[in-house]
Amino acid sequence: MVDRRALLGAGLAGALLAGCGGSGPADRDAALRDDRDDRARLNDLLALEHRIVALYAGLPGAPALVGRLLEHERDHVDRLQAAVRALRGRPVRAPARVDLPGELAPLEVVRRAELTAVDAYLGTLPAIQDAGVRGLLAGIVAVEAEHLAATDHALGGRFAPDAFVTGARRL
Amino acid sequence: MTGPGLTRRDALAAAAAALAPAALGPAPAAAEPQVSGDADVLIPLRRAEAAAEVAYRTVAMAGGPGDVVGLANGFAAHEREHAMVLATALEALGADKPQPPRSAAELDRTLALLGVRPLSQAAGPRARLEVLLELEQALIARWVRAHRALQDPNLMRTATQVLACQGQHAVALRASLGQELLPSSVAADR
Repeated sequence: MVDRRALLGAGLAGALLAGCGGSGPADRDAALRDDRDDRARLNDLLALEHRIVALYAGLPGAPALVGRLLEHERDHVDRLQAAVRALRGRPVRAPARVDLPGELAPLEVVRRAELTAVDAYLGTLPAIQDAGVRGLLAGIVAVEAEHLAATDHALGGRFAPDAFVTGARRL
Repeated sequence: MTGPGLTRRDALAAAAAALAPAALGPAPAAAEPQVSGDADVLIPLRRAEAAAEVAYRTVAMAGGPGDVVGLANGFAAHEREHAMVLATALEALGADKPQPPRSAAELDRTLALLGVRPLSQAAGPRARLEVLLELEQALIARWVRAHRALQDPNLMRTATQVLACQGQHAVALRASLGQELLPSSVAADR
């Protein structure tokens, strides 16, 4: 376990917090070193958003909250597609089908999806070169964290348990 | 919180790399501290986060329903952590850190700079929560804008983690106020 306070005391906060996410610092450093451009990175996020839309649309007996999240995720798809096109790229298409995770309650599926989304945006943002795209992705990840808060609360948890929200790869 | 496979050694190694001179740009030629562009971005955010801690503490001390006081105390602790991280980052960048407001009047002036109503004039727990929600929305907008300007990848990650926390605070405050929890699909930058 990492002792955040000990590292804060040592003046190492920024780097520590970078390393607290679901994917480790080595993964993220590798992501920064690869030579893919903003279009490819945006398409990775778009593929994830497509998958989340398909998951939410296919959840049986999902509560009303999921309908609201689905609206937002569809808007994220639209905005990411527009961003890829603005960079003269070709947006990836939605998958033909997405298998639902078995034996999980709908809100637990949603929680995993939102954790994964936060992790993905967190990992992608530092590698994005275009400042305007970074602004867009920051605006989206803030809302993905809001989704996570609302979902956690619906599951009986707290809205905002942590001072630093990291996400995790769970899909 | 740690991720799968992340060890203390990983974190320390990443920390050392991030604070190595190369990660902070070329070493200054003179003895004077060199303030980078990232410091310019972070200084007003440190001021805002420190003010947010004071605002939450003020609301907690003002009393009211237990859930409001509990929320204010919990979020004050978060804002304190954010302010501490920013202070550490600014120190590493050779910049001075703004001090938190030391009086209600100073807090109101800082809130005014953020476009937020004065907390001292909020009458009752609900009005105080409304000011806190305004403050969170102002913080979110500034953190979103910061993502356009920050250059250091580690600072960017920290910024994203803090931004995400502010978004979650906003959801909790909306819930306390009986407002729609998730009004927007994308956080505004102004």
